Amino acid sequence: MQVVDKALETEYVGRDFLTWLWFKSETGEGRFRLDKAGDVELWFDGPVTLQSEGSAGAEKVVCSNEALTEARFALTEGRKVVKATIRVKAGEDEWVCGLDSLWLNFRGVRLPKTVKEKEEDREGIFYERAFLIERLVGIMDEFFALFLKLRLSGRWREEEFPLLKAWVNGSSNTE
Amino acid sequence: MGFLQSSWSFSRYFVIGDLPEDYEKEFASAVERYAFKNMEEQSAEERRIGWAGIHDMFQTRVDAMGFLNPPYVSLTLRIDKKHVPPKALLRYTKEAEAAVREEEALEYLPRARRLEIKDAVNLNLIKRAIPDSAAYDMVWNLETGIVMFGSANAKLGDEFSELFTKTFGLTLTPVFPYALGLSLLEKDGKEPGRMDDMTSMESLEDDE
Repeated sequence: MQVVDKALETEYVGRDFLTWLWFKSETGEGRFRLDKAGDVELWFDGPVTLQSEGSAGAEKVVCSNEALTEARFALTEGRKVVKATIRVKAGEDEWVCGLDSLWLNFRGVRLPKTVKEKEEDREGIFYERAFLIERLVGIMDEFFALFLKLRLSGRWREEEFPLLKAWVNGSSNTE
Repeated sequence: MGFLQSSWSFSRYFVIGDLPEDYEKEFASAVERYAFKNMEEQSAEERRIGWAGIHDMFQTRVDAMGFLNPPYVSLTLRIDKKHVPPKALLRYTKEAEAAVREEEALEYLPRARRLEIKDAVNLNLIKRAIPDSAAYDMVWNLETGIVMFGSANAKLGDEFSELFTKTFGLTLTPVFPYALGLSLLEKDGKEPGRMDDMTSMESLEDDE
């Protein structure tokens, strides 16, 4: 099977991940403790695009981050997150980027303001940017690994999914 | 937007295969072989592709590109394209048709002849056109075996993969969630087949 076909066939992995990430961020006030990255904050910042599965041409719903009720309604209608802009903070560093559910490509990555332009130090600039970009990628990969571990364990059905469903239907205690 | 600019968009690839032992030397001569070379003046070529420096897309000398910053290989994929604006083509074609009709005292030109004239005009304009240059940055971490490439366009990704393989003798395969999952499971010593146990999340609609 061609790579693109496999990516399309398994896009639900990315959609479920982004939907779960939004839920975790909203219900945990955006605060996480990851094994490798340590204390990290993540929140959805800007419009969230939701779409039904197997319907690439079907209507997408774009909700602003403040319109959580509207977004939750879209989730109950079988739509899941296909695109989102996220803000990530780890220590003094903060990034903004877009993610999509099909490839988990990083779109419009804006690096921490600590990056300085020192024109005479090309190598220094390169290494600093590489470090910061890879740090962001590492954090997102760690979130994905966490999601995967949960998703493939018994805990998903017993604990996590019921909480996610309660959040979507507005009946969680964390509102 | 590029790797060194304020905002960067990129896709990721896994590198398949082992690095050659003497990769620093081998890569230098390979990059030189596939470095971008300017189109000749008056060339009918419409498109050219090759490697250039990530700091300066007009730097195509391998010794000045600074492409090896361990553990990274960083280059930019430069693409030069010539483009004839449709209105210019139309204008010059109409002029050429009028000249032929006058020269040969014809009132009407058959379609085949008009197409011939159009192709000849197009070729002439292509030869005179100045190419537009675009750059797509690539950063390859030799330790992790992951390449970040500054475009999400599928066609461009294929072209990039092809040039990468020709240059470095290694294959690229795109990172996407399922493949990332496989890779993470393998790294953890878990059975990759477990990814196929994962189906789409159930309905989130309230049962009540």
